[in-house]
Amino acid sequence: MNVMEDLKAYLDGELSPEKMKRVDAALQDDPKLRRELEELRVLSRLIGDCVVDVEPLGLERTLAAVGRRKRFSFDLVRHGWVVAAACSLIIAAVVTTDQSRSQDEAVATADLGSVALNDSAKRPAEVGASGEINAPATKAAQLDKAEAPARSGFQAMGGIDVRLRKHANTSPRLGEDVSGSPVVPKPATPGFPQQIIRTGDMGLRVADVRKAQGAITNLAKSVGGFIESSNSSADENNLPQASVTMRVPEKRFEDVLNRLRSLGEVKSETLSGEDVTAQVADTEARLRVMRAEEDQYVTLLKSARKIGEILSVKERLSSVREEIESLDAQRKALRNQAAYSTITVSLTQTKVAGEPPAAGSWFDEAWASAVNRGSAFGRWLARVGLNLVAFAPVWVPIVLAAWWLSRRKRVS
Amino acid sequence: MRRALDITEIARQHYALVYRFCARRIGVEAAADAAQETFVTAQGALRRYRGDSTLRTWLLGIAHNECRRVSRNRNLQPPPIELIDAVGEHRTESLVIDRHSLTEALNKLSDEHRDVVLMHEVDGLSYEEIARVLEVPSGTVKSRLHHALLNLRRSLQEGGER
Repeated sequence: MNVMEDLKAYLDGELSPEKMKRVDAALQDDPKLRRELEELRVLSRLIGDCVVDVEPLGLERTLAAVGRRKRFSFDLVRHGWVVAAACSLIIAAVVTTDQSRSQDEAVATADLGSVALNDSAKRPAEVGASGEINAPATKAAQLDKAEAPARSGFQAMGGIDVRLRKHANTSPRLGEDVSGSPVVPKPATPGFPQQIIRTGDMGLRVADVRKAQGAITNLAKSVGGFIESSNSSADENNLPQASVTMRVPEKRFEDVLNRLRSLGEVKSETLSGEDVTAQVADTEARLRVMRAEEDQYVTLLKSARKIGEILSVKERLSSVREEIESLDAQRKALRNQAAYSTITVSLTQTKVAGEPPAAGSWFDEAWASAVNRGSAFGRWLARVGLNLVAFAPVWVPIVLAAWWLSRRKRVS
Repeated sequence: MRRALDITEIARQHYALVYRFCARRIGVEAAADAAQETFVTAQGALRRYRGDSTLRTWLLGIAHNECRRVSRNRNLQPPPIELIDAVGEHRTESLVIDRHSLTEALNKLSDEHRDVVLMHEVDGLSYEEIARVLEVPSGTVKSRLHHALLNLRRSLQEGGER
């Protein structure tokens, strides 16, 4: 052991007790070592006592700096969950708004298509007595986006207006917008009772087609209507199917629809209304004119003396009467159509009535349900992924900034 | 425990120590900035301070790094060590120590030796504390101090012989 090297540590009390003893022993034996120690003591004391201590400056500035930082510091790493939650909320809000808007736009577009389709079918009826023409484009244009959200209960399929009712008791009345605001066309002829031909097509899936046919017949009779046509057949799986066209009093139309819905599962439903008020009014007006003409010809016939005159007037009279009959038939047909609404029900059957469920069907159902849910979950995940990608410009800079700040802090 | 650590209070208690530590390494002009930066850094890192070392050792470690950074960036040299006027003449068997000779001897020390001498003799840090500040083993501190004082004595002897 080199005692000389340990002298300073000995002086400072920084040696282990064992080494201290050794140095003590060495010091007692060696006067030169004691002189060395004394020199070290003097030197150390002088340095400690005599080095100039500068007066510290800038304490207030430092206190202000740390105070300022304390007030405004927000530890991004420590409060990372707050930042993450805020970002998630913002992204979720933006995504939800965006998705609901795009869904609304999709529904509105589909409805515009269906309205245009219906309107093109109704076009002749909308040429009123006043000559006012409601062009399909005009009506379609009236459907602004504000109405669109209320239409989400409908689904447009294949461009045809197939409106699948989700809740039977919330069925929209014919000629009524789903938003609740009636869109019944204004009578083309003021003061004339409104005449609307209502038609409905309904696809029903029932447990037993035969029983359902019977029930529909009874229903038509019970409300004072009748079965216009009915036909039955079998599909490719040898399951019975049928189509029944019934006519029911216009006032019972809604009631009948509700009762039909209770017969089975509604697969599709289309309701339409055609305002024929103007047509009926026009027919009746022309009928009155023709009858007046007929009366005039009858008066003329009575006063006619010459054979030529008589023949000529009779000829005119018969053509007027023909026209009167035609107009009368037309008027009656229109009134009849308006008075009795037409409902066509397509009936399908899921399985043969009375056949016991096939063994293992529960498993198939459960499996199909699981696959459906799995695919739905997959779609949901894909949507989330796409949203994350789409909103990368929002969250990537935030994450990068947080990472950079935390890294900077670690480095410092 | 950690909640009790308030950076303002810490700054009030340790500012003089940190300022002098910085002033002896990079000069008084840059010392205030370095000391401020030391406390600002300490404020950010306070929650990571686990109490393994004393607060002053921890602060001086930050200040040491800050001084190295400043002296490197601004190419600053340590200012000369000055002694108070009231240093009398001290004689031992082989040495005559006065203010002039001691100042000269101290300023001849290398940066490494000067650091440990000032930290131990002036700031009163133990070997272990110096080792933590400088991030070297305490044996190295002991060795540096031994050699620093050896060099001082040699310088003083040489000065006395002239």
